[in-house]
Amino acid sequence: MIIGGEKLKLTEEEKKILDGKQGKGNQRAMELLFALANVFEAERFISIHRAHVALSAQLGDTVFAEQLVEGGSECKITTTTNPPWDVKYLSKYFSVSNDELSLANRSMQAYKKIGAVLNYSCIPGLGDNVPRFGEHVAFSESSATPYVNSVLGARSNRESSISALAAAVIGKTAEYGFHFDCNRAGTILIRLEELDLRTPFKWGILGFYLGKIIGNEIPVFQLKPSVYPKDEDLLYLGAELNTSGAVSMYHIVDITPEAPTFQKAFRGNKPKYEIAVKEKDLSETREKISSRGGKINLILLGCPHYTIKQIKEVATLLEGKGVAQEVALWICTSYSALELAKRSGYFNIIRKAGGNLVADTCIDQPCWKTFETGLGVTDSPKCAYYRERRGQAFVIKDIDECIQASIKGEVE
Amino acid sequence: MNKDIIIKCRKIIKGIGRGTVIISSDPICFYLVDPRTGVLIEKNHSLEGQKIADKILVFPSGKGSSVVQVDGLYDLFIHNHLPSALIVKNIEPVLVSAAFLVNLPLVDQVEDEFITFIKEQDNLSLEVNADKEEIRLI
Repeated sequence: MIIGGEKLKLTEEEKKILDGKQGKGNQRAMELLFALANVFEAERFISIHRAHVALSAQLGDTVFAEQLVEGGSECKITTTTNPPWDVKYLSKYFSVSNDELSLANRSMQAYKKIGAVLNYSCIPGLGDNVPRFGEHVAFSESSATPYVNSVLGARSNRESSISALAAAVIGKTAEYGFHFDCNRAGTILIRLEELDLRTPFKWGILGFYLGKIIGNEIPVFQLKPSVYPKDEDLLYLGAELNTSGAVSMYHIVDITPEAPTFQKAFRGNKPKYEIAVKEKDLSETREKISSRGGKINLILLGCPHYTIKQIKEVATLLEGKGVAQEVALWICTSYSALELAKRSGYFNIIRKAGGNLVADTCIDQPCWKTFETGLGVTDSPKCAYYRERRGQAFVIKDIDECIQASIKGEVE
Repeated sequence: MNKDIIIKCRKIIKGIGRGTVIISSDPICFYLVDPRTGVLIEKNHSLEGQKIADKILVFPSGKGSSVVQVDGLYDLFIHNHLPSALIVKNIEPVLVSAAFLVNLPLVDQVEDEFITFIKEQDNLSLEVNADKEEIRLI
């Protein structure tokens, strides 16, 4: 018997779902939404029209998706998905165990059966699934949630892979947290006036550094006037804030839509405290989280997925050069950026130099275990952080140094 | 503190867990716990190298991206290395989901005074009864 929270009021239909009258799958999904609603003292559920699910081809979220499918659930709204790995393409290059292969296939099957859109990309906010300003959504994926909240001004809580899927099959989410204006105000001030933030790598290091310090505050960034962050910079910032910490919302004064002015970013409140970040903080952070240099066997880029702009940059750096023989260079990207790279000629340049582009694939997958005996290089702290668990050490460098390393076969 | 004392808490995920206490001063990402041993492996973490399996884990909050927390805890579940209950200070949705999937008792809203008390004890054992919203010394 489920007892309602003190504040939560369920509609007749919602009660029926919780009682299992719409099938076991929807009941299980609703139980999770119900638990969240109670914890965060929501008074009601609100309808949503899109979701993004952090499909991972790992066991946890796969099992949940299978439970819902077996219980008869189906996505009621547009629901895009994160990348697993391109089983057909990468199996030619790498050996994986039968268990690993079958788990990836099981996962893709489950999300197909539940009616998700199989775009397999971790940056849906850039093209496949773009919420409008003020739209209520349920987006999981640490690269995606801060982006749609902060950059697009949509409203999503920090959904997990399974809570976003639960919201997708019910078509609703509990109204709490970032769904309310008052909870979206900046709480602390981060002064970046001393920093020349020119590359996604540097924004990523900044995000990783701050995520650890600020926990779940909502930072408001004040930039040096000459700095203008690109999409990729903002993707890296959000992904890292949400990896080393649990930050799913930030503002940048005069850049992001809810921060046209300093005062509006804080919605009239005073910052609790402020931090001025120095170049030294970033270099020390990189030192601390990066492994030491040496001979390498892998350059792994695309966490979050590389955009067409970043692919072009790699093509420019690699044109007329060659990746060292003992080294593999892999770039993970979306299916659409891969297609654009082919049309625009970047794909051929990178292939000619010995590099590889692959769509539908995440860096945190078993296909990369081939390289685990050696040292890797990446421009993404998030990539290094999750690869650590699978047993490969990574050196974290900016993109030009990553490409230099791929040519030399070693890194400082 | 009196051994019979009962501390109130708030239920987030139901269930009852018993075990010795382990306290983390840093947020936790369960993906960086080795599922085969239940030992936390994250570099520079206050619990690096320590086993969290079968313990009452007291920690400030979850962290890490939206999928790995769920998969991390599920991996501990299938290897029988879950903590026996979680006591958290700042709750966030991803942690709720992860504990929901594996039916791991999870509570919050425990008085700071009690947390300070348990920090000062060695080898303290607790029972966390999320159903009754109570914690007691055992």
